Amino acid sequence: MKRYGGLSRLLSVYGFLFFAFIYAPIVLIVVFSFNANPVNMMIWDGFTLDWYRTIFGFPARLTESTLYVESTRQLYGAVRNSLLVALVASSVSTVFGTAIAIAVARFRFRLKSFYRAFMFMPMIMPDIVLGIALLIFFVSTGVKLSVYTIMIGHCTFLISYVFIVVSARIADMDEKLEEASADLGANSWQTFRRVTLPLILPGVIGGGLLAFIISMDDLVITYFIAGVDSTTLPVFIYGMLRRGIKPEINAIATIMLVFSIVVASAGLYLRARRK
Amino acid sequence: MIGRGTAKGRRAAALVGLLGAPTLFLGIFFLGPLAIMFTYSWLEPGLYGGVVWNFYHLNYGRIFGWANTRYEQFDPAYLQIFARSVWLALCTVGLSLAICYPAAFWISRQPERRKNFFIFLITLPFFVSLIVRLFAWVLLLRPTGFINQALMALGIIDQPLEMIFTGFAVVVGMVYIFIPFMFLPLYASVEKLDMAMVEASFDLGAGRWQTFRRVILPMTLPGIVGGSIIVFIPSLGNFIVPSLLGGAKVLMIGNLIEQQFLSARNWPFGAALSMVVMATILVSLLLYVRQMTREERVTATPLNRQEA
Amino acid sequence: MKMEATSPMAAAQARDAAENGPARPVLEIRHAMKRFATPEGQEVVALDDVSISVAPNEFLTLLGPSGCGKTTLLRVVSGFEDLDAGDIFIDRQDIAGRPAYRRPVNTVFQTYALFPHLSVARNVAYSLEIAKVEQAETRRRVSEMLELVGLAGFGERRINQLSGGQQQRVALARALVARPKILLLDEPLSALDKSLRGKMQQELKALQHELGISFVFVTHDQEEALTMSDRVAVLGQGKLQQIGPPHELYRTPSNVFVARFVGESNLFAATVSEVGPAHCHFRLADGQEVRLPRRDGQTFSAGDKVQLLARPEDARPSPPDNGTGLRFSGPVREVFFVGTHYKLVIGTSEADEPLKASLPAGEDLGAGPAPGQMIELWFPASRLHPLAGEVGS
Repeated sequence: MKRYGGLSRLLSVYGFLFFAFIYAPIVLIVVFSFNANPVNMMIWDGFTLDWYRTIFGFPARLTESTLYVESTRQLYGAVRNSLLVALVASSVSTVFGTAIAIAVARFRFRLKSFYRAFMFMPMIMPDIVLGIALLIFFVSTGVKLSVYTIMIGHCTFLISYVFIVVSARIADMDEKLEEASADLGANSWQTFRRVTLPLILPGVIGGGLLAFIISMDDLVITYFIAGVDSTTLPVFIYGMLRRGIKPEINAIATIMLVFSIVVASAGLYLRARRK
Repeated sequence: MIGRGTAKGRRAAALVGLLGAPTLFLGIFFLGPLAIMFTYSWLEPGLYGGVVWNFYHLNYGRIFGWANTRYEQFDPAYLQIFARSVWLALCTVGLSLAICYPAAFWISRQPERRKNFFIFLITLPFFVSLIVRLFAWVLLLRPTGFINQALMALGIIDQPLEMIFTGFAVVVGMVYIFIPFMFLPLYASVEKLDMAMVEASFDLGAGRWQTFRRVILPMTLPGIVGGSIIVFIPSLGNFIVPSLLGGAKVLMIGNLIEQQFLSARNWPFGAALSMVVMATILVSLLLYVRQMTREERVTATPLNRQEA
Repeated sequence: MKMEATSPMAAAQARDAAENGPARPVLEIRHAMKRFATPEGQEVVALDDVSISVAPNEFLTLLGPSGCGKTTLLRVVSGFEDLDAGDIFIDRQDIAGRPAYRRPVNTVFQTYALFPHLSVARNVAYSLEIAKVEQAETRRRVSEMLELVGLAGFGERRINQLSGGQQQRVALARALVARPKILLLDEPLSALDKSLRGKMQQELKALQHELGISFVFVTHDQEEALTMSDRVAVLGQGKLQQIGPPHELYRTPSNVFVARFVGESNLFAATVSEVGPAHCHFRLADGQEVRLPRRDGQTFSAGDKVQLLARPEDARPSPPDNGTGLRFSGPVREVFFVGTHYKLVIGTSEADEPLKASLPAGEDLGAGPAPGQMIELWFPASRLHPLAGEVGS
């Protein structure tokens, strides 16, 4: 072991830098969301909660700069749309993705390998291609763009994520358990309710959470198929960024950061618990 | 015909129950849009947006060089943008590989509990909003951003460096968001590498470089290739990173496609560009799968023989 | 192939008839056919015209090498596979097409297939809960069952807190609690270590006796099959090779496959030299001749190629002066001392394969034969059994 002692120390330093690269930008946002400097966000000028006040619609005390968030109503609308879309899209795709995963894992049929390959298609397709294909589809079939088109669009690729997570879970499960259940008198539905579902549930919940987060986060596809009054949070922020960087974005980003880290930690914890 | 009342018949019914609705949904809302886009790419663009239902190959002609009419002309700029996209995607792959490879080794040699925690730390940013993570880099790279402010405060530079709106910024942004994609497959194969093999190589007289080239590299190659392809695909068609960090100066193919739909209103041309991106990705994926199966055949045969 | 018409079945039925009146088979499989397509596109015949009946309260073992069709047969009975042709009757009812969950049979799986998310008691109660048996009744029967398998007080444990042997018992209790007509056991002891396996063999046998349920037991371990069963059905290449009580399989196997698969065997190639009204004469390649009584169903004619079977323990170290038999001599190649016996491997010029002999480790053998030593062996005619066919089949 002695002969790579020096290399080992070098690697440790490297590891520290590696995590610094990953986390420094994120930490930066959080820190500077409390920065009182209204002119240059990157020069520390004392602690303030003003930006948080602003986005929650309270009057700001320190800054007299024009309210950058045009209206908190718009922001809230975007948040509501995001949550609504993520809730519906992740629920639907959890059901669909789980169904396909069970079919592919538990049945023998001719199109099985097609389904398996097909489930990877939305993942290898660039977002922009799928977004545009959906846009063309909705426009040429005369469907008005709205939150509903966003929900449909999200489902098309979220099903794949759920499929992959649930498939991994089913692969860990002994097929004989379902036979044992049938042998003991349970029909297909009873077997599913009492054996299959309880055992794959952590995977289903994990897949659903993943779908929820990805849906909340999706920007590109939503950007193309969102209607005029159906903006989601990422699209809303993207619009803000394109018009100029203002300190309020730091505060919004921090809140989103905390939210997604909490949800993701819960999801990863659930997955780790499966042993 | 499968009879009812047999084990086979019941299973067939259950299968239809499981696959029916999702298949219908994906058939309409996933395959349908792709089919329509493919069709559009071979139709004539309308004068004020929309399409004219005539077979029309000049959408592709404009990209690849045979278009030479009054209205539609070959413009090498499209191929240049395409080449730049491939180049930036390759840079992203290379840089993220260089960053993740040593890190994978470092983490694989940690005690079990710490190992799992580190992997958790690497996966976590994947769940943080993409736009938030990119916004962080806007803050870092802007002329009035954190890096320039810090360097000027330290007196290293007196003029802000031009970092944002360059190819460099785009690559850094993409590397940042795709690090988990590169790390996880890489780590999977580094983890499998038995340190006893490295010691055996030293023991048999190979030096560090020889050991790396003849043992470590071949053993971790599946992870390298896998990670590379997973990073390359979303980098090539990326649209959000260049639009935030590349600005108008560093256009990638994704931005070009967006323009066709949202400002130029030439949908068939945009569809044709999308098809070209799709084709490139499918071809690179196909090459990857072929390479992997060939390698499996080469390495798997002697192992199987041992087992038998 | 009408194997079930042989005498042992009649004997089992007669025994049963004495106790319960006229016996009807609980399970009857007639001319079962099943083919599988392999992933490579070839077709494998898993069951080739197999007919078997199981009497009430019988312990029947399906014995055979892996891939012989024994597990397929079990899965056909439990309802996880459909037959391509043939019929299955349980209590004289045709159950073809009846789903697994509506068949009065339960299975003990090779890997136990216990539900990891349920407690021991809930595992055992599973079939009663499905059948909507009253709660108090369920509780009573579950604790009764747990007691029967020696797991009283284990009800609230989780499955992963149990040892392999305990899991085995839970699987047994779970399969028996609904009082199936037939219990199917798919190599249930293969995952246990040797000492535990012996113990479980005895317990299973006792349990079957106590409950009076027919057991159909699948194994590839011939020793296990011989120890536990009322009758053994030997399957090979999808065909029923022989069915009968253990001693019959061992002493008078119906073909070379059974002779080789059940117990250790020496096979000597011989030719039928003379067929008399009550006896046949067989001549070995080295010129030795032996006269054996004709048995029912054996139809040899002069000139037929046959195999003469002799078990290792039939070998005698010194031939008596009178009495017929076969005599061999050769160098001892290997000696294994197994306590009660010496197992010898002897090279001879007569047999293609080395001879196997098992001699009692009495005082006359002393420290036993030494490798390299020349030894003479004798197999009495009364212990020889002629088999039709070549060795290779």
